[in-house]
Amino acid sequence: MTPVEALQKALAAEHAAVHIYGLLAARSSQSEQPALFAALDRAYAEHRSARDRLTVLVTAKDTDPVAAQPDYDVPGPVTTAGEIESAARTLESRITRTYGELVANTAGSDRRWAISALDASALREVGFGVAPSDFPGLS
Amino acid sequence: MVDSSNPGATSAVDGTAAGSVLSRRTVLAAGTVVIGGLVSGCSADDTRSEERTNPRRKPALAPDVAVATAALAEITAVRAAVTGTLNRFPAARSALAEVVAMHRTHEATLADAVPDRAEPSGSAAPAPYVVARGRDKALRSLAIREQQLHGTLDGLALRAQSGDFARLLAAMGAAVHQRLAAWPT
Repeated sequence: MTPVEALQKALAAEHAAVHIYGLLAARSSQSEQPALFAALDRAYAEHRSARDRLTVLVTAKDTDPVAAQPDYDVPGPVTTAGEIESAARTLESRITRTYGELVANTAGSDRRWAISALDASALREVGFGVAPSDFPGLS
Repeated sequence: MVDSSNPGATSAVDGTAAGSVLSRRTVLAAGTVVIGGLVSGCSADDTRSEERTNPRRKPALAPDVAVATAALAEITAVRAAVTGTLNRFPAARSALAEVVAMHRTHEATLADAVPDRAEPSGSAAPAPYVVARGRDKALRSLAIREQQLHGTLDGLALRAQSGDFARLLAAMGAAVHQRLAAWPT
């Protein structure tokens, strides 16, 4: 995988994350599940920021950034708070692996950013209830 | 509707099936492949040639072997700090046992890449870790030490020449970061 391909894959993942977190937040109740809503809201903001950064990184390589799709499948049902949290866990675990690939396929400042993004997604995983791993983003 | 689990052109996230998690053995095997490549990067012929030209000088380590050596030394030092804290405050065992286990796993993954008696370049032997007297202060000090390890591993991931090895080191750093998020108080 070339660095640009890895950046595009991460960007595509962030497009999906922004879409799905928006949906998950909409399915949660700010009044009844304030902690979950706040975590989803924070994750949404962080993924928007990551998406925008990746767009800049791809554009800087004279490449058109991959566009968002009109819709995405949500990983699992999202009726209850537990299901919403489970979907967030699945999403973050996939994102963490994607950033692991980005670390492997970039160098210099792009890799530096990928490492920090991997850290951030590994932390969000734990925030949504994933048990700490010995190798987040690798497994 | 686009399948978000498909990483292809119409997909967005990593295509591995949801909940699909490689076993720890598989992870370690993957690490071994990476590490095996590092070891082979420092050939015996190179070492012998260096020894012939300057027998008293230590042979230079291949770049990623040097990175692995530095990572292993730092992880070992931090594990010793955690163990020392546990010896002083055994009641913290339930909270820190997983941290020790994580460090041991990381050490085992790196050990094969580090030649015997190799030392990190440009660094003196680390000062022994002194455990603070009070439990709370000891745990805070240890968290700072773990935070330093996290930064070191991220920095080494940036230095690594092999992309796969960089990923391994970044994963180790992220693992430390995860433990810090649930640090006992």
